Amino acid sequence: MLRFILRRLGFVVLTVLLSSIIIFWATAVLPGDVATVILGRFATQQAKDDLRAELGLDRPIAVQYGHWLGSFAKGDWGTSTSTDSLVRPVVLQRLRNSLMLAAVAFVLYVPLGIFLGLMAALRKNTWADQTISVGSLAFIGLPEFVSAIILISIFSIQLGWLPSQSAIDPRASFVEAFPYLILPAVTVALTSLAYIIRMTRSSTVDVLQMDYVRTANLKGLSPRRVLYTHVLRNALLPTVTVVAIGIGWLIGGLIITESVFSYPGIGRLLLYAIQRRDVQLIQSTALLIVIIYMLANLIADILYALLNPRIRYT
Amino acid sequence: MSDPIVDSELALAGAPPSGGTPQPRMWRLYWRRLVRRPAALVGTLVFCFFVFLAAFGPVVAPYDYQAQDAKARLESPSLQHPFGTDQFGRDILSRIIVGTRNIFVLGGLGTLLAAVVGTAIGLASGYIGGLSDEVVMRLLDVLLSFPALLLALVLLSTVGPSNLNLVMVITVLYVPMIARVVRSMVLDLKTKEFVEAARVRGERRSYLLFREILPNALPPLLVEISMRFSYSIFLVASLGYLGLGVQPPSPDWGLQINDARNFYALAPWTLLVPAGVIAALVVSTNLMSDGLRQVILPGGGRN
Amino acid sequence: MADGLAGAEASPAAVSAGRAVFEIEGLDIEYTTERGTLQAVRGVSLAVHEHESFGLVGESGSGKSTLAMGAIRYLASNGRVTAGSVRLNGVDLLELSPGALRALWGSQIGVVYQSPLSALNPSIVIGKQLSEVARQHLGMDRAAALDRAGNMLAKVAMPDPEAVMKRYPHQLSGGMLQRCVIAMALMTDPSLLIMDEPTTALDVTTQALVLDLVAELKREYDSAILYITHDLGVITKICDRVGVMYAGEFMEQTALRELFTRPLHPYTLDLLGCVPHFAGSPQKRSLITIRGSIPKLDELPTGCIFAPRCGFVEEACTIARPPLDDVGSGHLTACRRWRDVPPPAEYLRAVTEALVPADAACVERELLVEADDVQVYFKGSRGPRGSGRKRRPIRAVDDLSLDVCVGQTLGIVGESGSGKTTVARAIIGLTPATAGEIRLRGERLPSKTGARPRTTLSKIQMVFQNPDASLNPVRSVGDAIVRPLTLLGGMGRQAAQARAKELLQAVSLPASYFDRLPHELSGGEKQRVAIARAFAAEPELILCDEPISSLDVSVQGSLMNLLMKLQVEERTSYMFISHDLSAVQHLSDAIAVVYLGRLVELGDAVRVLRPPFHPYTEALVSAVPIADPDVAQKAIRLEGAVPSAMDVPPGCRFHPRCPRCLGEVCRDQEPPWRQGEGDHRVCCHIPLDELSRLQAETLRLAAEEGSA
Repeated sequence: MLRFILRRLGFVVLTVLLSSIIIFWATAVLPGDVATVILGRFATQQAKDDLRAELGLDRPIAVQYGHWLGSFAKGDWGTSTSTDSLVRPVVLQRLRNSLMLAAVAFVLYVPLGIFLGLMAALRKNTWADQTISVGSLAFIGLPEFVSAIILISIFSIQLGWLPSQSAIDPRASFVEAFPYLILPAVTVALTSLAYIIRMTRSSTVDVLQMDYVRTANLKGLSPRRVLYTHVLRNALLPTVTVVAIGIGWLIGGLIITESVFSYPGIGRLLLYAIQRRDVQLIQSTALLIVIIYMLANLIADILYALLNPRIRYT
Repeated sequence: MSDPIVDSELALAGAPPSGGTPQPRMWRLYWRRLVRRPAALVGTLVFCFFVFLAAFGPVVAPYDYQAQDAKARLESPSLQHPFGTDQFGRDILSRIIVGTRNIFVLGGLGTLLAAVVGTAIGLASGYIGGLSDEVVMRLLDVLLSFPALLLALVLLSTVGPSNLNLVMVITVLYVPMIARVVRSMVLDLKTKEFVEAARVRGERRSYLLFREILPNALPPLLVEISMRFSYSIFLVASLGYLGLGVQPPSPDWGLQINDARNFYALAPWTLLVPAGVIAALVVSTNLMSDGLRQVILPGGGRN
Repeated sequence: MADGLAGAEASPAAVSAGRAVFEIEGLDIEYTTERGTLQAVRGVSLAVHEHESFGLVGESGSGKSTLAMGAIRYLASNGRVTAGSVRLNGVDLLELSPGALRALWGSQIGVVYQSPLSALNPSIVIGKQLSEVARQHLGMDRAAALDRAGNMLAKVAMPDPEAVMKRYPHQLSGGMLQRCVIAMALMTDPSLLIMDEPTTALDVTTQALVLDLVAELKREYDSAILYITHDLGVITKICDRVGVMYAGEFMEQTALRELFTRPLHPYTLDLLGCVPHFAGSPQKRSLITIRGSIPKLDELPTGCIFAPRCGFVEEACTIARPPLDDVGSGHLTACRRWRDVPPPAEYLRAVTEALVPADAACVERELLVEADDVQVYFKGSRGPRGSGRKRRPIRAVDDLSLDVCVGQTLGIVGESGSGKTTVARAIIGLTPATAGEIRLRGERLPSKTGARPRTTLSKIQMVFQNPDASLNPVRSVGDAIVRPLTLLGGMGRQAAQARAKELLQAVSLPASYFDRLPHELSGGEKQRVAIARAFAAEPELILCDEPISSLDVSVQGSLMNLLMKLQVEERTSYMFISHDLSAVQHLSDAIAVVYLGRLVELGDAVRVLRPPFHPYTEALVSAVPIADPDVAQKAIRLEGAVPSAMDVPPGCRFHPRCPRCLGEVCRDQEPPWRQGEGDHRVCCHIPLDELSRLQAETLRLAAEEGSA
């Protein structure tokens, strides 16, 4: 078991390294000269050269990469050229905001999704199941900006219950931010809900057809006991994996939603950085998102191995 | 012998345990199954309708999608303009129709390319196996470790948004998943007895891959491709919304939504119509893929 | 359990005279499917008494499992009981509310299924799965329930019950799991025990142990047992009364011995002739082939459903369906012409042909294929924690040598883990041998299939175990056969098609099957196509890897006949690999017995299966359930399971389980080969005459106990 964890961890490290290479290469190849962007078009060649030397842009790429990676690991994430402040505090603050949004969304969709998925599986082929299944199919892949807009139009504009923009102060506390978190969280939850429902439903349907469920029924156990003791722990196993991976996406992947609502999260930060060619900001933000994503995957794998006796006790 | 109850059900339902009468060919069987599933059928029909629009869009559209009419700005839906007009007086219906081609070409081309490249990689890697297979899969996993939109953004910001680049990015994004699906099918089929029988009669590797293995890997591959296409719609629209996709004046649906944000209060239809159409296409594609899965996969998939 | 008699029980009348526990009357069960409503079970009646075991025998599609499940009202959502009554201890099951039904299921009915691993929840430890029955139905608290569970496990002869209770299902072997399931079924001392093919998924030796267990439990408990199986040999071990089902109806019901000595239905008669008689007369006869095939439920014939395939059919048979009638002393039959049904021995003599015994001695014939010291090792996973880092190889085949002569059939028999399939795959090159030589007519063959020239490949072909995966689903039957003809035989398209049709007819399939796709064929038909395909290459040797194991009994017989016929016509050699000793014995000229990757005995078929034989062969022979209630078999039972090929025992590989183990010498040294008559060789430390003596003694004891 320990060996399993170590191997997976090793793989994560390797992947993060390779990803960092991709990120670094992509930003290094960005069109537009950094020095020109910072100093303006009319700066002298000498000034630009000096700046480049200062920023370390005249050294070979591999060295630059190594330097950047080393600094990142040490916690020095450089300076943002667009805001002229240190990168790290900004990124971490936005990360905190994204975490808040992720938490609200998580609470919304996970319990509901599992419940609906179970309902659909247990009442397979009834109208309840059809509604849930077709409904969830309809929401998967529905772009967030579409659902966001529809939600805004109903709840903000028509009904006026909730604010339509969430451009709060990035330093706001959770309580202050909460009303602004609702609509974005619901938007995100809608799409993820569909995945969880489908996953839960399909794995529950599978488990219900298993021989050991038949055995449990024929042992005369009450339907409730069969469900809770025998079905759930096997049916929810794949769902746990999907949920864990989903957390990764919840934190780093909400670029569109944050844009629509102007919410100061880490996804929107990345977009902002890309639009402004702010190299250091792009690099750190992207790498951080990738790391979070990979950690979520790792946790998913470990959880699965822990909960599945076949792997835990090989 | 497996569970006799399930067995006899299957026996009664599908393949005859006692041979004898010839069965209808595969296509008719698929069609019959599809017809029994109303949701999937509706989805498929709607999808086909969109395909038609994509193919014949400019011919069918009532107006030129670029034609501006300063006198008819932001008109609400009427007989003349069934979906109203936008801030430049352009007919929204026509823009939607022509925009269909955009989505299909970009998303479809990207998906198709990804399918070809991904299948090639999956076939080769799965069949050869060993260390090279491990290495290739790990590399693909690295690509999969990025949230899709993030990778698309990073890549597009590097190479610049153009139609060709968009297609390339979609391809890069979807190759890993398709390669995985094909590879897992290959790994499964490789050990099947009919493949071994082919080896035992001295068939060449290319024959094994293309005549024995690939035809049997097609059903799940087709399902995966149709699902990828539905994601690509999402991706193209999202990128359009962010301004990193297709550039104006192209009638990209995502772009239209982005534009319409500013006029939403005045003219909600400028926003709702493209949003609704995206939703319709995505939903119908999803229904169709799910239907495909139930119809052509053995055991009828879930449901 | 050392030597003991495990033959038929005492006469049914004396033992079973209990009250009727489980009564089914006129039961109809139907299914709704894509193709309409199908009547899976029609007008079925049976009764099982206390202490009695009722054997429900049938092939696939007979409805036997549907009947058992439907009777206790556990059907899939599209299944439904439409008529009849089912009474358990006087209570009508069909009238019960779902809650009461559940209570009944748990407390008065115990069910044991075919696959024990899937019958148990993989995420819950054994102890908990057993004890929850006691807590639900016996009102026990946790400690008491666990206690009872432990006791039950001990009762089913589980070694170390306390440890087993804490394990998860995937950590136990098949035999142990099945015992757990049986223990679980007996927790509440149920009135009715339903066992649906409980030993089909187990090795022969493990099966024998489980059957012994069931026989003993039958003595101890007074439950009524409904035992479902397709294996006529197994029912002789346990059942008092037998019912034969066909396509949803009973054909015959009677006492055990009556069924074998004096069946009164043509189907039963034919079924008895489909199974090779194990070590019966030295004069081998062909097996019965029942013409036609099992009817589909939506195409049932009017009149007697067996009529289209019956050898005694008259016109009156096809008009009305004959009812199941009692024709005297509890013998029920659904045949109008039951008076005309002859005794089995007479019938077989009339209907089957004597087979020309092949001269098995390889010295007079040409050697075709030789395998010398073949070794197939796989890379093992790292051993369990604490055993060190080294990877131990999986020694699937270790220094195995055997020969096949022209026109001869070599049978290779062994259980799971014996390496018998791996040897065949090494010979044909699919799983390359890691050491040793394979020679074809003296010429050394490359170890990989891919490295062999086509001319060599065409000489050795293979028929695989799983007929469903043997044919490419997207290619037609004709294509499958034409391909080897064009690729290996160099024929043109026209000539190949003509020849393919000839081959189809040679395997008794109509030429019209040429354009069919595999999913339109039954299992037996697919296997015939696979055989035709193998013969298309005009091979000299065909490796048959368990070709009939997954088929129905009646189909097995006809396929074995086909193989033998083709061998005579084409003078092909066979290597017939199977765990089924009866089939191997029937088909083979020479037999090789394999255990854990090693050859333990080799010789011609008759000699190998008579003493003196290797103790493992002895155990195998005594474990095969013979379809004859009068034969006394000694009960040599092997404890434990086959060790993993990563952890091969030192010295003689069989020594940890050998009932005749001599002790130190068997543990430390590899046994020598001892030469018997002719080609016969046994690999054992015990000299052959000593073995003869010991084994004759055991037989004598067995006969004495039997007659006592």
